[in-house]
Amino acid sequence: MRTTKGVSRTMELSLECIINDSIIAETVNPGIVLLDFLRRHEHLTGTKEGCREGDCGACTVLLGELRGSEVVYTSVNSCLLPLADVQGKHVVTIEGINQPAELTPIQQAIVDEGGTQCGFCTPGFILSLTGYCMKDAQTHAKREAAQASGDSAAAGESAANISGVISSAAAAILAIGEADTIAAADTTAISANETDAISRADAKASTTVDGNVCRCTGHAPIKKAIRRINEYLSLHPNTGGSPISHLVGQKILPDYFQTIPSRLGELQKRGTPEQPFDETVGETAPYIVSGGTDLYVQKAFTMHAEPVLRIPSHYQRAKISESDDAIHIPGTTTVEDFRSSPLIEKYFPGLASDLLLFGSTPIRNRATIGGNLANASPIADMACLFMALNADLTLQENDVTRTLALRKFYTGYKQLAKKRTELIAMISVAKPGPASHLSYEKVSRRKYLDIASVNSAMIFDLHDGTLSNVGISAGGVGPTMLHLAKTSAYLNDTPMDALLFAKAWTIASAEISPISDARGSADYKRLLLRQLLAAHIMRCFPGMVKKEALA
Amino acid sequence: MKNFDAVKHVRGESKFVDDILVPEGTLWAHVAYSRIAHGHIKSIDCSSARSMAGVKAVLLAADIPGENQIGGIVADEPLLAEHSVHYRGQPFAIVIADSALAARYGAEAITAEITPLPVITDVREAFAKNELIIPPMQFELGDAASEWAHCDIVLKGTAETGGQEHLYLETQGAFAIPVEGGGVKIVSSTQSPTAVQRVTAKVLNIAMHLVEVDVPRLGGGFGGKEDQATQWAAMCALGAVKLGRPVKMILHRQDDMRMTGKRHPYVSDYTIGLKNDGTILAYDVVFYQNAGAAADLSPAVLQRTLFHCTNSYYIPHVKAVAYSCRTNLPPNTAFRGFGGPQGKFVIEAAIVAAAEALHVEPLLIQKKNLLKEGDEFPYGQVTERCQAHACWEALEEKSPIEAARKRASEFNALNEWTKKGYAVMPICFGISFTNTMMNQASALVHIYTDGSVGVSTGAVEMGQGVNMKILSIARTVFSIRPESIKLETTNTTRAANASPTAASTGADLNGMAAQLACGVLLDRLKRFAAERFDQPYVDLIDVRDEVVYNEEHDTGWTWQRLVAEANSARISLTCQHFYATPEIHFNRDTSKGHPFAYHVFGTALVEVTLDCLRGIYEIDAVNVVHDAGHSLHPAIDLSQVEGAVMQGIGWMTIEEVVYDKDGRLLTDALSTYKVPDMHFAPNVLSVDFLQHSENPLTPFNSKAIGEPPFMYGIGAYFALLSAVKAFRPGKQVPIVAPLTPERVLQALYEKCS
Repeated sequence: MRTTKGVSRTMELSLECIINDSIIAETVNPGIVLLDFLRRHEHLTGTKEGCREGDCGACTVLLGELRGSEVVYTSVNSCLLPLADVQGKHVVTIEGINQPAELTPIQQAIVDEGGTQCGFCTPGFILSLTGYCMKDAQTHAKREAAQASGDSAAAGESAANISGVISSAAAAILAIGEADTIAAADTTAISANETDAISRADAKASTTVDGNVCRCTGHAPIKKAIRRINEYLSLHPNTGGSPISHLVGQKILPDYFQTIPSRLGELQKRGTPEQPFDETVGETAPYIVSGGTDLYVQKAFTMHAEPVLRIPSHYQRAKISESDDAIHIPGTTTVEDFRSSPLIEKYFPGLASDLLLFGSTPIRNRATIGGNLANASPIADMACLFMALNADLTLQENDVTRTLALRKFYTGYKQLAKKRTELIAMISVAKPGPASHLSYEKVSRRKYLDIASVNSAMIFDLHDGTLSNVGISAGGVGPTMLHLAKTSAYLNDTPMDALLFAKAWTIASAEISPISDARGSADYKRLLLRQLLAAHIMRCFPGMVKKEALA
Repeated sequence: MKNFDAVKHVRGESKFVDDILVPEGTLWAHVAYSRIAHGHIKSIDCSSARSMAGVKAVLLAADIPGENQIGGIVADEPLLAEHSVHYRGQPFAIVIADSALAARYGAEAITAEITPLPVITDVREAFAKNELIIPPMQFELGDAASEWAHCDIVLKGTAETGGQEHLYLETQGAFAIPVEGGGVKIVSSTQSPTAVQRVTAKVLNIAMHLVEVDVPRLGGGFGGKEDQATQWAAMCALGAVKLGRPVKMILHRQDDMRMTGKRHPYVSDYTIGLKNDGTILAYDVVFYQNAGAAADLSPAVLQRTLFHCTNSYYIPHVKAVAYSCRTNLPPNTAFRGFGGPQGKFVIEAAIVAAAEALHVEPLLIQKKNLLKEGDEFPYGQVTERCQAHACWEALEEKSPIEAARKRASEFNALNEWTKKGYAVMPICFGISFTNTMMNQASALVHIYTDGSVGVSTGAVEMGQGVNMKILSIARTVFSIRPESIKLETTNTTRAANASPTAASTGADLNGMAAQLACGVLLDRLKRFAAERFDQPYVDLIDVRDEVVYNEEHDTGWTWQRLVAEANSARISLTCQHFYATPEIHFNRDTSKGHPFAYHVFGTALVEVTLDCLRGIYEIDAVNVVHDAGHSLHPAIDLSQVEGAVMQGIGWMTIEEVVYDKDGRLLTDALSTYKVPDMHFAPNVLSVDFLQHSENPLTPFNSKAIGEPPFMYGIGAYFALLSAVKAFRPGKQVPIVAPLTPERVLQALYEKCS
């Protein structure tokens, strides 16, 4: 306990969970992160500490949660996961993947392709790739079930998702329209034959290890290992039945996994106590935790000693829904659930692939939309999106709710127009019309798992070459995520012509005030925003912005 | 051959320093370091730290019983700052406490009153103020000064390369256990157990034999743990001896990044003179190395920059001068390539500039001037078993450059906003420590009575596969199952006075020593068998696949029986052997000699696509032909090349170390310092090994692998530059690496308002 800063609150949690094949029943500090518990308390040292900020993946574990009769696993960064969130769940570390005598097909593929050198990052990769196999088996199971019941749309759904990811990944760098015909030809050339299916699967598998960094191999051998794993999976598809039983049969998971659903069920029946939603703590708690993937980075060495307000689970179970004219996203929705939501895909096709640029798979599995907005980073990816979409926030304290436009939510750097104890219960956006276009742009030093230097989203309706209902956001160019109100207003109802962009930029340039920092100089950010605004325009109006106009 | 280490890695069973169970009563240490880059220490207040719960001790410079000195080449770096600080992140106190967290809180509670002095971060400013770590070094061949007159064109230019964070996934760490007699046993994540031993003995004022250093394995090193793993181990040892309890320290990533040095940034000015046909006649280059606040390994790094300043080319007239400049940054240190990449980048920049002036492709000049057998390097050694042309030609066959040219020009004609670029990158890298005395190694081999074998050498396993390579050597000599051989931890009591595992020499030097030791043991066993089987000619006794043959007849003896019988006959089953590289020498006064046992060659073709609207890019393909000799373990060497290429590309592109004017590291976390990830790696990274390359100076004709392929990454810079020029023909772009998306966009567009 940290006494120097006057915090001396004793916090205890009767933790009940399963770690690998063992039941854990311990009284713990719920604010300690899982990584420390695994390494220092359980001496499960296969899980490594590389950065303690969710940026290397050496500490990746799988977290299994009982949903109905099945346990659904997601990969998480154990360095950012407070023990409170492990309550009643199954934690899988590398020790829980190992078969007694032989290597799993995933481990064998990494060995055979030279995908490990020093070995420090390797368990994290194995866990992420095991998570991928679980997801793959689940997708297959769903598809088989759908085919059996004659639901062809559902049967095709997962494949469509895969190709969506691919076309975006391949085309993102080239998504400029105009004469980039080679890129277009490349993406349409992906046909349905077997090798291409494996290539698509490779891209999908690569996405699931987007949170893992290997400094020794440079990842090329790991790519080869992924190819081998996908070949293995395509030779041994799940032809129905539980995904877990299938993977046990394939020796990808040890036998004991089959016992986990009933054992977690037992824990649930015994009623593992949830951390109470303590209103009085709410009054004094300096932090409200929803995901915590940023908070536990910023306060890595103090969070365990802070009283926190945890968002109660009935909030967390809320689902994305639609009303007549709007889509409603609960604040506790994880970025990954948002990204993979059929409703979001329906109204914002293509957004799922844009959002692959948000964090990494394990971060997206934990980070919430509400958390991203409340964190108030001037380059928050979700704030960027919802600022353009002119989202409304439903703020809630106890039973009292009020609505506030996101565009009025940020009052200064990290300043919010919200009482500390108010929760972001819901984010609502208007349904886009048939003439609506959404464009999302983000540039960072590294394309994936990086924070934007500048990001921007633009939504508009297009009728006869004229824009209306324009909403443009810009991040990284001011103390908060900005709504470029004047630029948006100027573009509204003005016919699109070759000179329009130059005028719009003059207006936008006066709306921003970038500063120099580790993510780029002020000059760069200004220039980059101009380019991203041009990219928005060029998506819909290829050739409208001339090279000469961007000197 | 099965890779036993890899099997342990994928099961999470490999034990790194922080994974080893520590004895009961182990304390944790944390470092308090300066938040000022330069200043006089007026006072250090430890009172609140000392009164904190869990804190056992705060140790300052005055608590050091021996010398407060860790400098290896130059004695200019204290373990703990006492009177002044010279960089932000310089340690001045150690807090020892019950837990890692208590030690951290203790360290955060220490306040130092420091009177600030002017801070220098810029290398040219340091040079202008004559802040030199060592006197300048100079290499000279022919007479460049009088050759300019014979050149058709003479060009001047400047090229800069940035630092690079090692980002070994396992951060620095150690623990120390006090032992009887006033000694200490240290487990350290170091590439240089002997340096840890020597410095700890000096700091504690005890004899070296009282310090035992053991290294299980490293979670990556890349040079970052050659000299800069030492201080953490020494601090733990100091705490252990002072408190009589084990003391452990594992650096948090951010502390590691702030306190340790990186690859040296360089600014270099060159003049190059050529004939119109592309023949390079003369090259003059001045290197300004940003050494940081202390010498560390900078002088040796500087020298290797000079050794490699002409890369893979023959230039008859060369004058190369190098300055190691002192700044207020953490002391920069060894990093894969060790100054070589910085030297090679400048000659490549000069060739690209010359090509533009001559209106030819850079690769025409590159190929025209490639080294040939017998060509002299600026340091006097002549090229032997030169493979420069062989690699280039093999690459042309594997991945025709003409095809890349066609891909790019067709694509660029069709696409206004997206451009492809490509570049060829030949390399030539000398193998041996350039400090000749370091080219020595020893191995200790035990055969146990059950036939199993334990091999100890001075080589440290850090992912480069040296253990597997030495295992394969022992297996080849003994002809036994690889499962019967174990590579032991690296330990100063079994391999004394070992050189660091560095300069790509780990398998060469230690492998040779192991080969010799195994050879002696085998010979001993064969002589014994010959005697038993009344065979007068020892050569007619053979051990193959664990079976003993006499004149090609199976004797009925297995390897295990042979060993057991020999033991019964009181034959020693242990051998220690020493190896020193023959032939090499170098005169530091004349800068001439034969410093390298041999050279490694290779050629790469790098292709990229640049999004000219956003300034972002992708590496499309890297095709390599690499000269690995007769590889000891092709799978390991392949993975080494692949990893090195990506690390080199990272250095040239997205990896940017940024300090502000006050010497504060802005890129001090993985959220701001980005290394290549899965998506950044190209889909085509294809490596072929050159066939028929002989190399008699190493175990079984192999060649060192660790560093040379790093330099293929330089091709990525010039491939991107060619894509920039495809969008903005003729545009003059400052040659500054890394070519981050920011620098690309600023090369493509003027500043906008």
